[in-house]
Amino acid sequence: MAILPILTYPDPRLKRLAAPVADFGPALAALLADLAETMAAGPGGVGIAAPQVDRSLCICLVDCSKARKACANHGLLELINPEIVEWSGMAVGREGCMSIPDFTANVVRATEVVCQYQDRDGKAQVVHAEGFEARALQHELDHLAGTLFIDRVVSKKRDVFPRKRSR
Amino acid sequence: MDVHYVLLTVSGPDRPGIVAAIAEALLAARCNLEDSSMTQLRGEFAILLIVRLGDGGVAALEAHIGPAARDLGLAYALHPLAAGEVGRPAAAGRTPCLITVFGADHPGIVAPVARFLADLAVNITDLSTEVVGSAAKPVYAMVIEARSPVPVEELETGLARVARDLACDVSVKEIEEYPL
Ligand SMILES: [Zn+2]
Repeated sequence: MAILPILTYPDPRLKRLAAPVADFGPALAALLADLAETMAAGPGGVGIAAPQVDRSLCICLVDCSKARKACANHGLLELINPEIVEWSGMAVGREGCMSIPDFTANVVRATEVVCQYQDRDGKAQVVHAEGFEARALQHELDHLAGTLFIDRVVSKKRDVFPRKRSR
Repeated sequence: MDVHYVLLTVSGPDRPGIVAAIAEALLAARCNLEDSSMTQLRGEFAILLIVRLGDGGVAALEAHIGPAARDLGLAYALHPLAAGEVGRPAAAGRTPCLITVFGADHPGIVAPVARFLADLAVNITDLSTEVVGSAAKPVYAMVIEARSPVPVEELETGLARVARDLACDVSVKEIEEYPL
């Protein structure tokens, strides 16, 4: 296992479209282990996408059990070839990203998402996430499409929009 | 002391082109515009910014800002900053929060709210106020961003008391930051 170096903005590699994973062999398991270790070493520790460590593959990790504030979560999610298939709700939240150190800004995200993905064995899975976990999923999946949260900023500061309560 | 940074303030009657003119003057003086806040207040436009000086130092900056400001009828002031003054203050152990105060406009809304926060050592990082509504029924709106060393619930309880005396509505909420 190793902590991999994080690419930081404006590295053009962060804007690439990641390639789907076809090989579910030991190399994938090794990369997943490195991603987990690298994520844990980061300031947030709850999400990472393979393109951030210069592996242009559709892989991301989300682990909201490690969030500073307790929230509904599914523990460690290893998302391979993920795709969000349902969105609902909308909320503003201030995000940061390991690839853009020291900058936070308000981003609108869906409050609930359904995400289809494959696990490390290539088996199809579905997760229904809400709140912070839904936000983390959307943020990390954006990395696979070469999109950074700075492309989605609604305001640097003030957040006076009422937050939608989750039912 | 070698001055590398200055705080520059510029203000005057608003019109399109102020930011462009000031930014061009800074560029011509080979200065760097670092952190800044610029806003329209009624018919005025106010600029606050931290400038990193170029080789020409303060003299070069003044030589370019002076004429630009004069052309647009703007007042400006330069405050040299010591190297130690340009770092970012540590935010650890402080909860970022957003405080809003709304109420019928009357004198003395900002002072008691700010005093309450000051006495708890809450650091205001951004504050803006606006009088909105009709002339007959003006409403005062204040939005504060702050970093609080005390729990948000404690702020809420205390501010509710202050707001009651002022007949204002107050809300406090933690600004959740999501490092991802
Ligand atoms: Zn990110």
